[in-house]
Amino acid sequence: MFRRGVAVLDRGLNVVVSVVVVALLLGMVALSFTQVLLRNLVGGGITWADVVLRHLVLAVGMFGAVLAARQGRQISIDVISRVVSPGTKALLAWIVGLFTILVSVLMSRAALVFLASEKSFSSELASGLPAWPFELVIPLGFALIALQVLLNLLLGRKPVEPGGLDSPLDAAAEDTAGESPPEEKGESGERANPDSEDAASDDPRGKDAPGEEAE
Amino acid sequence: MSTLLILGSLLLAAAGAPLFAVLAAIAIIAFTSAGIQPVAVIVELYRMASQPTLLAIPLFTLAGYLLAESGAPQRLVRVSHAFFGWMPGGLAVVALLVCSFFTAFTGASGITIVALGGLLFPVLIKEGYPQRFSLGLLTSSGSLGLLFPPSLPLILFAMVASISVDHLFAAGLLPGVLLILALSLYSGRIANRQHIPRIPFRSREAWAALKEAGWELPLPLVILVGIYGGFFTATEAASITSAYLVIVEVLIHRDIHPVRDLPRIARESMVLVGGILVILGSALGLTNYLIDAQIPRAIFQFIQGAITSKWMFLIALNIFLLIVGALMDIFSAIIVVVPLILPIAKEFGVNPVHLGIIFLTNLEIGYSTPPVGLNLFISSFRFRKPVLSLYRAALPFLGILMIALIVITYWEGLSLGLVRLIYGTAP
Repeated sequence: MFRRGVAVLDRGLNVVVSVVVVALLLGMVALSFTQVLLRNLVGGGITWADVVLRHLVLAVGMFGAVLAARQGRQISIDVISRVVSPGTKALLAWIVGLFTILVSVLMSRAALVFLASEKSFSSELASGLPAWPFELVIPLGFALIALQVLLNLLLGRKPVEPGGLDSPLDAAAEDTAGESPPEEKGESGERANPDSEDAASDDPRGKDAPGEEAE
Repeated sequence: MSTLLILGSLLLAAAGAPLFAVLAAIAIIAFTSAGIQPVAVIVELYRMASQPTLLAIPLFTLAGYLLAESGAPQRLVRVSHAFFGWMPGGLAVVALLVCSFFTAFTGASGITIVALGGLLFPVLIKEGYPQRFSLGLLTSSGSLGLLFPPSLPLILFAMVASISVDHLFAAGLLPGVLLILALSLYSGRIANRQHIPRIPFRSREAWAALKEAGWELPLPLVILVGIYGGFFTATEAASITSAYLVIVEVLIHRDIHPVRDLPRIARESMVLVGGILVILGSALGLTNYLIDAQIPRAIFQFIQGAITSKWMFLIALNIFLLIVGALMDIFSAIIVVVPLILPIAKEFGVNPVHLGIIFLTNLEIGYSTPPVGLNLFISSFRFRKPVLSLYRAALPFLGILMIALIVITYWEGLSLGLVRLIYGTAP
């Protein structure tokens, strides 16, 4: 029951964050291109566009980091876990996970302090455009990273090998895995998750998937 | 106490903790022990949002992913085959050129090997290239092109070092060409030795291939002319490229389905961007602290005893960076190492733009350097070959790249000549 609840929460978070990331990115492409066209053809752009765009990058980065956390694709230097026994590896995963949660919570708290001061100074991005709603993504992003790492631990999710940095293997694997949009993909992937104790086959984005891709 | 906590964080980094968490933890500990509130880390992180180049990162990354997932790899291979197939080692040269084109857009995140490797490897074998040669070629090509605009590492380096992206873009061109040229010559020799038949140039096929790739082929040229002709900035180039590719791949070629593929590709590309930006943000606080605490100065004074000249410094730098490149991925290496190295390099009289090119060439080579170069693992995965056999396959290519690295490091003019030519003054 508990595991199922965790799995539902994990899936829901993934859907929401994915939709937000895609919408933000495509919105950025449209807005920045409009800005380029206006500046070069009409000779004047939208005054708030540049500063808002940079803040959207911040948002897309924070939410993208949440997705990276879910897929175990956060950039890391992993030298120990390659040489230790599976038992030690699992223990290390918990220690590392708890550490990441702790740091993310601390960052989120610090960001809230920052936000409060920005609000009290009523900082603006452009005239009439308050800065704090855009800065909200920093505490929110770190809080969601903490939540996602916690969900990973509870679901016993394993990071992608090798490297951890690499999307391509993964992206190509998803490519052949199915043509469904991201929302559904997460779902089909998690089906085996809640009841399975076998961690190795737990994550569809793990070792198995890239192998299929090469065929 | 704080020293102990910092050591603990570093230990966790070795155990696989995400780099952003390690950097943020160290920054928080350092600031707190200096009596500064942790909010300072966030203030520094937020400085990212004032960088005009920031927008170029997600937009160029999206562009790279769109190219990789579309039919562009096939089209580019076909057109370069039609035009360069007649050369000795023609197909190998094709592989080098197309891989470079791709890496310039995808930023050497490994996509090149995945997107192009499967396409080129069987063809290379069929034309009679030895298997080991083909594997080595594709493995080392996985990061070739890193020095060409608009590669993500160039943009990131310019941001972290606060130098002009335009200068760095121009500086990378000739060294990038040198790397391709060196590998092409080697490939030509191997092809001759194996008596691989050359393909005669056929104008009809060339024209058909050219027409097919006509939408993607002009992109690098448009970016270069646009930036150096003063028509638009690097960030505007990113905006134009991403919007253009969405239109071309979704509406014109219809390789990418607007509902089934586009959201998935957009999401995947942002996983990479998120991973990089969160590290960049967390590191800004730390590097600022380190510079305030005059750590680079201390390192400089420490090594001054052993290293007395610019040349000795460059040798030490090369060795150090090759090790870094074999251990760390390029993005974290730029974010973490550049702020420390930059002030030291300045003391030794190394130009920051030239430093950028040295830095990136080193890391590019580090990608295929045993034992842990990332390209080796990706190739091993992609081609289903044991990593050990890839170590052997990559060796001759590493040797050649190493020689080119020496030229790039000790011949400053190769990097800075073009910058001076375009901008009139030394950068």
